[in-house]
Amino acid sequence: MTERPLSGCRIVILEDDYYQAHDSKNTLEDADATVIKVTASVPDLEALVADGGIDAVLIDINLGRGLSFDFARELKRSRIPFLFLTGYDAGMLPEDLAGSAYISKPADRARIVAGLANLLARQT
Amino acid sequence: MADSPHLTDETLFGAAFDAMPDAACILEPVFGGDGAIIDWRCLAANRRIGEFLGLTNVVGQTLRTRWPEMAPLWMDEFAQVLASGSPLTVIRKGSEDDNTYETTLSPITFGARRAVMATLRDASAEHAALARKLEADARYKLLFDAIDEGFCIIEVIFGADGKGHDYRFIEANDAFLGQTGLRDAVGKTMRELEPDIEDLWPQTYGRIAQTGIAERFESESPAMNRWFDVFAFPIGKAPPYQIGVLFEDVGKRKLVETALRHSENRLRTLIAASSDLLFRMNPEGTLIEQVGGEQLLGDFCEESDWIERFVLESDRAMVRAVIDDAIARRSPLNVETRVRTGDGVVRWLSSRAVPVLGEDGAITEWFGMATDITARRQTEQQLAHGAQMLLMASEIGKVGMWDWNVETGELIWSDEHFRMEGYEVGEVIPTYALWAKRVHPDDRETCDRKVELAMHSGEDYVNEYRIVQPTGEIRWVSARGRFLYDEKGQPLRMLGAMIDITQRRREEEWQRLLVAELQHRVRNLIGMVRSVARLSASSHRNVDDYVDHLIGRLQAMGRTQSTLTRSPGRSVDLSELVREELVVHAVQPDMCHVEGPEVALSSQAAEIVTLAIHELATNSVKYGALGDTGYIRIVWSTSEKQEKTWVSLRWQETAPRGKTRNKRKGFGRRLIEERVPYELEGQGSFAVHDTGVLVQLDFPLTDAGSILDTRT
Repeated sequence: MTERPLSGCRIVILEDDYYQAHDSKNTLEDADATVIKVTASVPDLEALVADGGIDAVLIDINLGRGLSFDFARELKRSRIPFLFLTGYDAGMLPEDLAGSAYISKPADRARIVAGLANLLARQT
Repeated sequence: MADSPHLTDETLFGAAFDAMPDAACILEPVFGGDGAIIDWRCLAANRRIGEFLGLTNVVGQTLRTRWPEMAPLWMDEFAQVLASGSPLTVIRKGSEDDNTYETTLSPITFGARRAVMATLRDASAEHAALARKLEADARYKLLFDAIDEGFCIIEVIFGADGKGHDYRFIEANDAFLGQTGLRDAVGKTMRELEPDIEDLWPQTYGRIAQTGIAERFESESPAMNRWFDVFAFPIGKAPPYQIGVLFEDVGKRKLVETALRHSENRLRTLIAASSDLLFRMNPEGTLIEQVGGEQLLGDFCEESDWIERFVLESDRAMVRAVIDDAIARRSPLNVETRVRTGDGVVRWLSSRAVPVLGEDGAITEWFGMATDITARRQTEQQLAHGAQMLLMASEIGKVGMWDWNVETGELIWSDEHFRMEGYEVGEVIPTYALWAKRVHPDDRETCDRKVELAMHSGEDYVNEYRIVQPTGEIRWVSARGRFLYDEKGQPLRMLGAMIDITQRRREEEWQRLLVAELQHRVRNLIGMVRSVARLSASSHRNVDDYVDHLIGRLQAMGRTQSTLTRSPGRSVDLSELVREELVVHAVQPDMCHVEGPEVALSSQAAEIVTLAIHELATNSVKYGALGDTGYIRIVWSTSEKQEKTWVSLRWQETAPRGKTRNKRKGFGRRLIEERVPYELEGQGSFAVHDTGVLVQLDFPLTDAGSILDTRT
């Protein structure tokens, strides 16, 4: 990877699978992003925003103990871009979140990076 | 005359006088002083006077002296005859008897003398006959006018062809006018009175006039608009006779007769054409005789107990009871029974009979009819059978049915329909509005539209919608219905059925979730395999070694999956999981101790624990207790902490001192120290002591771990 599109970006990973989370973290850090939080449960968004801000969030839909849609809605309200990374189909998305950026598992590293880069490019 | 000396031929005349059949005598006037006739003296009397009147010695006697009481009566008549010179006949009753006498007085002149001869005969018989004739005539006239029938005497006028052409009325009685309507007919001809009179009439009378044979006939005269009953007979001694016509206008009678005949014909036709059997029955109700209609019982005539002969044995007692009851009450009887007819076929007959009562009020006989109701009975049975089947099928199949009368709005629900709508059976009177009220608000518009569409298109109504029961429970139903129309195409009724498909809907939803879950798991698994492979690679320089480890880990993951698939509740028993891992690594029972309460692990926890035991066992076989003469204790317990059940599992190796040397943070150690807190929100510790590895896992039990758990 010669380009570093995520350079300096502050990214949160919400993923219940330890290995996937570990993998994603490595992937993003290799792309020069700053992974500020890796968590299996919905984090306190306000605290993270207050502590330096968030550029984007990578979200697994199924968090094991529940779905992450409410968190995605919260992000949407807060205008924080997010990318779904999930084993489910896009059809699982509820109506108000349909059309959200989405990558299905298993995704290779390049797609995750490109997905987030796209999201951030659109944002600016 | 014997004493008359003047007679020249006394003997001859005397003999002739005496031979006369009538009594005769000759009387001569006796003059008084003034020359007037004062008496009459008998000059001669023949023998018949004596025989006939019983008189003797009358010659020479005078009227006054011999018959003083009769003299005045005869004196004038004698004088009249003498004066006129003409004979006179007098009919007079006898003075001494009841006989009627005809007396002829004749004047006689002989020389200068004049006398009167009286001849006398008994006319009693003639007179009586005459009297009788007069009386008969009077009676005839009375009868003639008194009878109600018309009577007339006619004279036939013949045409050139010799047939009667017309006739003239000679006589007509009082009733003639009323019977014919012809006024002042006597003297006139029929054709004068009624020019259109049919030829039949003069021709018939002409025939009678010529043959002299009386005829009786009935005939209509359209010209006179009457029906006549006629008796015509000849009058007179030789042809052409006059005709006496005795007749009657029978128009009214004819009308009644015609009507009666028609009605009789109709009745006869009806009875003959009747598909019923008409019968008579004796007062006791045992014998019947067919009087008309269809031979429903076959051809039978012998008189035997019909109940015994025709009615099926099982029905006999009932039939007798009905008849006995009707006899006792003397009221009509009505009975439906099975009979075996002459040809052996069993039929259903419906019999009705009414008693005919005598003057004393007793039953003289019964009259009745029997109808073959076999077809009706069979249809009824089939209908009842069909209805029962339908009812049972709908109850067993839990089918709710409805019958909606579109015109009246009347709606009928089956029992199951009530239950499906959340009502007790019969709790409410079903209406369209009531049905619509139960439909889920989101489905109501579609339901109305589909009913409308089916009504106007004639296609079946097919719909799946939700019913919200009063308890708030939502039931999915699948309904199908069909409209029935009249000949103008107007919808009359809608019949339909529906079944509860809530379970099917749930299963469909469940299946959809399962597919999604399976997809999710497979994709996650692949992601995990990739992660595991990558993590394994970093700790091994030797490819064979790496492959061994990787395969071992994948197999452990595979075991978790198969265990999860096996277990119906998607939870895994901890004890079973531990023992299976030990078996896989060929750990002998005398080398380990496994103990702990029953604990059900979520799939996620099971996966982690399986992999952890796998890593620990692999390492132990390679570097630790299991590779030597060591011993392993795996024990766990549960405890309540912060409203959750926590599992505390310990892996403790006891091995010869110095045997365990591996201190690097490998795959297993990271699993325990990092993945357990990350995914299970618990703690994991991995310590290497001189005697071996001591691992402690603490995590809360949760039944979550799959999207499927979100279903209620």
